[in-house]
Amino acid sequence: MVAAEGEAAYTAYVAMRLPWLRRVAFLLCRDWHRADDLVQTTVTSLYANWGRVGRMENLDGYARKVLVNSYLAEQRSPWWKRVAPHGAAFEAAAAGDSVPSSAGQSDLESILDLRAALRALAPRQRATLVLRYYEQLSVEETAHALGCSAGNVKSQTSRALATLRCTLGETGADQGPSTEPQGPLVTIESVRPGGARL
Amino acid sequence: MNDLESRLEAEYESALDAEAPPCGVDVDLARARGRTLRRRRSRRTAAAGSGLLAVALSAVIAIGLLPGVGLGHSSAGTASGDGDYSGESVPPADDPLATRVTFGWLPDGVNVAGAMTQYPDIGDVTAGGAGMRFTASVLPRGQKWAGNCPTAGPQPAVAQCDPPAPEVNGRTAYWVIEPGNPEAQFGGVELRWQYADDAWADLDAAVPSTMHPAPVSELMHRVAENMHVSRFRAVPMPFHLGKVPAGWQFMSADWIDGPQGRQASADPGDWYGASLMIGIAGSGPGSGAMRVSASPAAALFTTATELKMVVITAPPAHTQTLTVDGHPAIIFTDSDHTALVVHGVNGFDVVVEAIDPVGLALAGTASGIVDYYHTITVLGTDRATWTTHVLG
Repeated sequence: MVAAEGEAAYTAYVAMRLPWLRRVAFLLCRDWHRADDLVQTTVTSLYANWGRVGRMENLDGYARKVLVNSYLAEQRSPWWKRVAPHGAAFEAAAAGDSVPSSAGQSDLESILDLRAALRALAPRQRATLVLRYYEQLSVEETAHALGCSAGNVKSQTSRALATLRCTLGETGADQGPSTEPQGPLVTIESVRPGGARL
Repeated sequence: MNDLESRLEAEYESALDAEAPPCGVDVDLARARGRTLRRRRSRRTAAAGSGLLAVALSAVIAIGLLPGVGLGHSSAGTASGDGDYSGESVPPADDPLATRVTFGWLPDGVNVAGAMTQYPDIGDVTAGGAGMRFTASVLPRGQKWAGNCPTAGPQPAVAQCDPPAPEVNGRTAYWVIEPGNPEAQFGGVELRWQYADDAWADLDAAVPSTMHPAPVSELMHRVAENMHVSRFRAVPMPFHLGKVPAGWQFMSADWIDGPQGRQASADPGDWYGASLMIGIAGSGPGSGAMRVSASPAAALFTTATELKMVVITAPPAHTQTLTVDGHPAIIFTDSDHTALVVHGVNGFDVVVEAIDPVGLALAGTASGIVDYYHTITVLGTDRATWTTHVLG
């Protein structure tokens, strides 16, 4: 068991850093429900390891690393864990597409284009960009969070930015990674609402 | 910083401008599950330290209510560890859900409802019902759990850091979580005891939190005293995998018996059925490249054509509908995952997933994953038809 003082420290830390963890998780997955799941996993891991990590100097760094790893690991999770009821999907989409009320039409289109382009990135590239450009981590810090080399972070960043440019048509190429379904498809919109979970 | 990088920074800030929904994170639940993780890790630590993992291809677990295995309520009902638990016993190579333990007695309304095995970890078997859950596991002779000792410094012998419990069948026992422990959320309680010379068992349970400690202790001991440990016995699964690539091996397997098993699970999810993962040997616990799952039809679809769920994984998954052997099917693909769902195959919805480059190389395309599906024989929902010849 985590000792009483450890319990108090854990509770205090989680209370203080929960909003930050949720924000980072949301930027990774763009879905508040999934973000909460990722943070749930993170704070569970923190508790399980609190005896060791509670004494760490860079506890935020550890928590961030667990969060990012949870997000990346989720991409390997069973198919049925990656589905949700129709309503949640729409709520998530709505939350993920919120834009500043002050944005003009061209700004709005630009923001939505960028968000669509971000969604089309591979998970690891998305995580790299969030750590570099939201968390403002250095290449080395990002490498630590992702558990890879600095060179790998540089290449992931470079490829992600190149993909974004390509998707946004900034290089003149308009054949970026397609986010449109191919073949005979079932789209989100065609799914009937009100379904129960498994 | 170039323009795109500046736009990225601005985008991240603006994405967070909107008010977030109420926080859905449950810190109490995190504590409860965190304790479970700590226990499982201590088991792994103990197992790894023993140097005996080579024979731990599969679980050392309990089971019952399975065809060919028994009903979990053993007729013998005598002391656990009564002989045939030899450490030389190895799980069958073609059935990953081999088990070593049977519940000899369970309270009224409690039935065996699930099992899990993960290479090279030990596995669990779970019984649930009547507002209770019991999860049992044993270690091979010579292996010990680490116990709740400090993680730093010399490690005391097992049980020195835990409160002693009344003996189980005349052998040493201790509480990992004592009945009535105020830290134990959701009525959690856990007992470990020596079931034979130099051999240990664990019973992790959740009972109504309103129960007084004395009857909880009595209940735990009655379940523990009637558990039987034997040689590995194969547990049937509802499908057979005809194609296991060279160099691949079993990685994990689960069986959750319907809604009851789902409720009884220590980590309740939304899924029930049987699942098996295979992958490259030596790639580590929890990894795998192909996963095959079967859950009762209508668990995934309510009808053949009405999909009740959507994929919310970003980037948007490509979703392709098709027919496989006359059954409605869907293929989901994204950058590192391809999943085929075939509805209504002998009463099951079957999911075949290719994960990671290795799995995707084998079956990452629509035709590839359908071809792999065709190597699988799906048996009926009648457990009498299930097989212990699962692999190869």
